[in-house]
Amino acid sequence: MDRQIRPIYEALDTGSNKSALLACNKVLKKQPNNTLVKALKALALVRSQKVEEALLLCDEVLASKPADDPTLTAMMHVLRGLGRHTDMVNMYEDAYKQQPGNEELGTQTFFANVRIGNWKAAQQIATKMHKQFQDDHYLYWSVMSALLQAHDPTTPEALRTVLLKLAHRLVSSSATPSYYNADRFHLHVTVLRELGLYDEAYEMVESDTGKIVCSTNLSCEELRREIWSLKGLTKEAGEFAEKRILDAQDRNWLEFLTVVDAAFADLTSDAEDADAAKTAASGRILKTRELFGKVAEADGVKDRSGHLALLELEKRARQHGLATDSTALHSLLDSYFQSFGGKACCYEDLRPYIEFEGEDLAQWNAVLEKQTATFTSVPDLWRYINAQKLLRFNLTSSELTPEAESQRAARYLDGYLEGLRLGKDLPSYDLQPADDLAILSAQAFVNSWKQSGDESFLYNAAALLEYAIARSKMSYQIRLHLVRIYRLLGAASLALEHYRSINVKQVQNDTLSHFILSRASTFSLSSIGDLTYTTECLESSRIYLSNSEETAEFIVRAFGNEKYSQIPDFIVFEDRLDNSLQRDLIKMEHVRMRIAHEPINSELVDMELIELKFIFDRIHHDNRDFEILANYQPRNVSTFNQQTQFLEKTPGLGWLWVFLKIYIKAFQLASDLDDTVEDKLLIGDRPKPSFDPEIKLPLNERLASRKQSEIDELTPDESHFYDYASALSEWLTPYHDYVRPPASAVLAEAAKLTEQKTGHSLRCVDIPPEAATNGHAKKDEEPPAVVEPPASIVQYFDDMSKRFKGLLEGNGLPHELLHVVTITQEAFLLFIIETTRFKSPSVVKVNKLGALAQHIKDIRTKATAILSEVSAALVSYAERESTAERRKEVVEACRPIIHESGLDHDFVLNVAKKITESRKHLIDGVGKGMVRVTKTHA
Amino acid sequence: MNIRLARVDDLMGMQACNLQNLPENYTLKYYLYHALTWPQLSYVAEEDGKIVGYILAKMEEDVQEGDEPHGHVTSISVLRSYRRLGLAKRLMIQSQEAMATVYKAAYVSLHVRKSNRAALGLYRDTLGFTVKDIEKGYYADGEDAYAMRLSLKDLAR
Repeated sequence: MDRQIRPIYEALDTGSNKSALLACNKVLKKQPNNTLVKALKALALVRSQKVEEALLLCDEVLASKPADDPTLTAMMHVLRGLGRHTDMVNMYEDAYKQQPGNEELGTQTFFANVRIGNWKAAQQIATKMHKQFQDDHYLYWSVMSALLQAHDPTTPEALRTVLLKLAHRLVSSSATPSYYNADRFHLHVTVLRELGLYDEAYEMVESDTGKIVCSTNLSCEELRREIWSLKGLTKEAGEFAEKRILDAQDRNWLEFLTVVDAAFADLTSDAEDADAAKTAASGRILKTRELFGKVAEADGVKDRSGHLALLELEKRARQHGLATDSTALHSLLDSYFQSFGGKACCYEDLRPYIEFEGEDLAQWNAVLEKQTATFTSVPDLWRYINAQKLLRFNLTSSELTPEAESQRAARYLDGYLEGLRLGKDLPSYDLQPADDLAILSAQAFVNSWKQSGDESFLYNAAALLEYAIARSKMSYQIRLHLVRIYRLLGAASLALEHYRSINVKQVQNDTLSHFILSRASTFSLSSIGDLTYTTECLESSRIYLSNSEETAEFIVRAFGNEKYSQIPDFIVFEDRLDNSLQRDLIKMEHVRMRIAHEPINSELVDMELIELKFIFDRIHHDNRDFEILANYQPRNVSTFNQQTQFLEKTPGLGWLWVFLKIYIKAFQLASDLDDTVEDKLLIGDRPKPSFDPEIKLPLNERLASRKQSEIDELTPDESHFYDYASALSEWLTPYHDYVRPPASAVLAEAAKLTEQKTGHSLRCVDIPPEAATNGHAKKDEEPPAVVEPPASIVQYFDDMSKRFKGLLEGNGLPHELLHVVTITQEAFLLFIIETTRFKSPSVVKVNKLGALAQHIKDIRTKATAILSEVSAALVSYAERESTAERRKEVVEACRPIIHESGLDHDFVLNVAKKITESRKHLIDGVGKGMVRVTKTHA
Repeated sequence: MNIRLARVDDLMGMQACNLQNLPENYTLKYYLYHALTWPQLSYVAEEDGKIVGYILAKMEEDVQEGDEPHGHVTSISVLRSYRRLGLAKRLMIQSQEAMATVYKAAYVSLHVRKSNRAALGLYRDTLGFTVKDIEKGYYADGEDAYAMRLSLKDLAR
């Protein structure tokens, strides 16, 4: 036997699925009932993407209730490949029932439940295993599972305490004390904390053994601090932290904050005698100031902690009205700037303490203005950069006119060019120390643009940043700035080039891809078959697949290794990636690009419908990183991130919800799948049911609901599109409902297709014989009367044509123009999706919907005419972009930054060429794509 | 500035450091494996909730015959604007102490680009590492690496 099976394993191990299949078939010829070989064959099929055939074999093996280890292991891989985790649980449970004495099977059953987050079953299995096999770690598995069930969002509130109490009872029953193992100890204290049993938790962490555990395990030490704080031991914690600072030379900022908190502890608790509390606090502040002063003096410039702690203490004393010396804050700031002004972090360090006005501001600015642009060393340069950033932070609106800002930008730029000399010998992968001056200059130009609306400021910013990136190739900060500016200027290919040069990896695809993929369909050329942006969507989404394949395995391993303190972390991480908002924003953009490129048929419609409905049931996490974009704008204007957003609106959950509603509704109308059919055809598990009462409402009710908070995230044109889409679907719903074939006929059709493909009938589907007949069945009821389309649908395309012309004449920025035209095209495509059913003359005839077909034709003709008109205008706009005059205009706009050498006329001309060419390519493509789209769907 | 144990979901916050300093492509799995296997060895430096530096370290898994158990620094990174503040040193010392006390490591090793003079200076002059070997073409772009190590015998408890 072994001799026959070994080659199968070898073929599977080396990825040669074809030879594995051949080897399986050879054995099955002689032993048609060999379940192990059947399971292995199913695995080879899954890995060769032959899902239908795999399903058939898979069901056969499952029906035989396998219990031997090799078959179970093979099936585990098959089921995981098919996403059928629930079946995996059932399979192991059945096997374990057959051999209740098999410890390994019990463990695997437990793990199968862990993989799908089925904590209730996991807890019960662990408890059973503990009774049977008497090993303590099973008890802790069950404690952990109970704790996780209590935390699971699907667990009802009332049950949570019950579960925590269960966990408490279990952990207390352990034969060996939990402190034998730091992770068990951590779990034990966590259960006590969750139950609010702080005294007991305190006793545990402060016992002799507890102290030892905490001193050697940082996770336990963190928990100990938390327990102290929960018990309200602010002063005691302060004393403890003071010892750490003095005796152990601990310079963790949290220790310093703990001491500061302790100094004000008398004020925050409800003191009976307010005056006495103030006196006590004043005394403590004095003592604390002495302590920090000593630390600051001893550390000198080696460590910032003592110095920053003095600032923090002074700031809070001011807030409580307990500051004794009005000049104290100024002298602290002054001395901090003298000591640490040469460090790059000085600006971030001081920002929380410098929101000054009037006399205070003048005094502080005088210190900063002493820094001149003559520097001979890198710390000197940094001192200058920090002074510029700190001065900029407090600029008032009268100082922020476009003229003043562009003068400032020119000054920053001069400083940058001067500063480049200090970094001329650095290796190519290093960053220029003067980079931040280039960024300051670009931000000042962007602010000028924001105040004046004059796009020439954006060209200045782009050109100088291009100059800077050539000297600091690894500066992601400069590239992110360029990505933002190029999107505004409609130079999409340049934006993408810079984004790709950042070399985004792994989880960054989740946190940073919004820079390039937010509303990416505006910049996509999928309509003319250029799939660059479409591919970018898919590439960025790969991380989510590796997450769902890998992270669950780590949770299992964490149980195996008893790393309880880490399990919740892994679960949170998996959940944050799995239900990432960015993931589904990308998905939505991908759909929008897809419909402009692919034929609109049932394959596209059905698949997207199912996927979007899953997304509509998710609870999302927003992992997008916007903070990464540096902000050096003054505090009374918007941040650089806000200023460079696409049309001042960042898509969030509300935006996603609106677009999901629009597309689910459209695909629902176009599709023949109803819920019963979908259930039968779906492979793999559905997502966990949500606990959100809103998501539990019936789908149609949710699709129809309109919320202002969601609409607020839309641009005016998107909002208009939403109205159009709602009117369109409302108008067409009765006709779709009438014409759509009954579920039984749809299933029969699916069964027929499967049989043609695989030679087997579709699993678990019984087809009533009368449904199997082809053709359009006669309906009992009369078709709904055809009504005129609502005016808003007819009017929509006219409105958008006007919008477009207005922007064209009013010199709208390229991204505004692109936004309007791509959304008009999208409206046309949505119309096609929702009317394809009525394109077939026989359908129209049988259902007596001739009048409807006429209305549809009229609207399509009109929309087509308008799209063609817009297309022609875009193509000629694009042509103008590629002329020498246009390039000259851009160069002329950049006069403020053009220098004699280096950043000279030729350099700027080159940038102007790149920008205008990139823009020409995009706008020309979008224009031509519109005509192509109308022809495809003529 | 706080130094604390790295957590799995720090991965999302470590991105800025990685953008700047990590040309090598470590997979998700690789990070998760570190976090699970040697949770005491990896730390992050946090400033106002923002991660400005981290050290990712492990114990060597296949110790050669005759060699002693030892740790290895997989990656250490400090955001540019938080350099020259002694941060890398603090991260390194935290990790080394855990290597010595939790895993009884005899020494710690690491690799550094031959051209990276700043890092070389830090390891050799500030932290006391010595160059043990040169590994030809160690990095993906073909650059050589210095293999450095530091004895942890004094830290063992």
